[in-house]
Amino acid sequence: MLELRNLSKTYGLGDDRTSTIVALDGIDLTVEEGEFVSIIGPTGCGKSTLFEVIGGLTDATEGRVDIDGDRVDGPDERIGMVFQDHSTFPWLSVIENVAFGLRMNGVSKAERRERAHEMIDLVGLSGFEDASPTELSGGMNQRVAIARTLVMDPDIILMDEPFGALDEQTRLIIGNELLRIWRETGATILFVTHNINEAVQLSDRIAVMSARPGRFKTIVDNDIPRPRDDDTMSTEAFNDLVQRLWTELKSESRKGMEQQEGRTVTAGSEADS
Amino acid sequence: MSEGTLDGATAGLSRTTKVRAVQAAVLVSLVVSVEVGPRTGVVGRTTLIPLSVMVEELLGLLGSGQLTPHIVQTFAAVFGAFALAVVTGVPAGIVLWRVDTLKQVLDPYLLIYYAVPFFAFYPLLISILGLGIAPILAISWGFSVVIVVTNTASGLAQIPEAYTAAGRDMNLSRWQMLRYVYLPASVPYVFTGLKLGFVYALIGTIASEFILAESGLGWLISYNYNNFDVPGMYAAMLLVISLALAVNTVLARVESRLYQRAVA
Repeated sequence: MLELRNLSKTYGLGDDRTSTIVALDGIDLTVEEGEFVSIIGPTGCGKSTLFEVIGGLTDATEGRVDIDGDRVDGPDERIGMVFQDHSTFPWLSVIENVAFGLRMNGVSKAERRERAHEMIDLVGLSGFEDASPTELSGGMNQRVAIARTLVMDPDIILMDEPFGALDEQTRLIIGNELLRIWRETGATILFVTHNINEAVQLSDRIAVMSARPGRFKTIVDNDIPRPRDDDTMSTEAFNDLVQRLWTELKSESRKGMEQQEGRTVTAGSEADS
Repeated sequence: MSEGTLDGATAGLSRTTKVRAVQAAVLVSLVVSVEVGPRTGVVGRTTLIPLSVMVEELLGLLGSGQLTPHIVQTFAAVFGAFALAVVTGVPAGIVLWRVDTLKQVLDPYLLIYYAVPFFAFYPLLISILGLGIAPILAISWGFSVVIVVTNTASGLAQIPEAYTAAGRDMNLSRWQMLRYVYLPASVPYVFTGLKLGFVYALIGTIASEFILAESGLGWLISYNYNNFDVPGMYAAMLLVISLALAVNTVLARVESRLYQRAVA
């Protein structure tokens, strides 16, 4: 069980850190074991900051992250992250990429080969073990990235717009694949996306983030029965939920855009003075 | 998307074949004109000799052992200077990338470095280092090291954030991060620096030997030129060019072994 308690993150700006930006403001969330939760929010709402804090890559200004009551403090082996794109190492083969984390953690060669093979099988890349990531499509590279994270056997997987760079068709197919992998591994997944359809296709619950400072505006239960196939996406229930989420998100997106434009104007006027 | 990639690959393949064909044609016509030009009298024999004569002369000189001392001297200077440039330049590049203030201070100097005519300083170098191999090594190293430093630093700076984030997520130590993420990720840039660095070391050595040596391949080229030994001059030049190409090929091989890339 992943618990986020009153997480806040404030960044200092400029050389003297006099002005500050509140990126996260009092984030609370409990993710049960085996649950799939998505986070959607406007651009610049602090989704990526939230992930960096949960993953222990950045310290929170306030609040804490617990897994089964045990505090996360720095990079944590119980948490695995999958990044947006191009995070597979082009100088290693597929199997070397998947086995990389095990190798860095001193796992024996025989064991890491076996575990890497298992994960490559799981993500459907059997036969591509010795290929270079540069020879593979974007979707296949994301499968490598997923296998590389899964092989470390994390309790919680954080995925930061993992399919953001893929086209719509590839995204749908790999989304279904992810659901299969999730079922087979029983992993707990926290998933950030821009894509409302994707959030509804995949998750048990969907958290809508506000524009900066980032808070959870609402958390919506997704009762659409599983397994969800391509036909599910044309049902009324699916479209109603997408609509509902978009209504929640729309005003926040507008605020987010105004903030970004406002920042440009401020920067301009500072330059003038 | 995957279909698009496949189409792109097939189109790329035939394009590659065409490009290769043109490259081969350029090389063949170059070889043929160097061979035929002097033979037909289009170019005077005192200016250029046929390629086959150069090769024959080179093989003869190599066989007789006359070239050996010159080869030893030049190779020692080139490889010595290059090795020095690598062992000083790569770590210096790493430091430059890590220490932002240092980079900001040095940037303008590094930028104009190759605008300074290095060889103009040779009287100074002679008076400091004396004659012999020392000033040649110093010039070649100085000429070569900066391109290694700048390529290493900029290569490390251009590593995508996603690689380092993945490394941090897997809880890599600082050393593991450098050894297994930063250095391999920067290989294409570092090797661009190494390949150029070798050529610069070679230029530094040959040019220095023109002016401040009494042996070596650079000295031999200049000596043969002054003594109207055209075949001897071209034989030495051919050897220098062969050395440059051979080392470049070896470095490219090492690079592709370190950094598996799709074979084009």
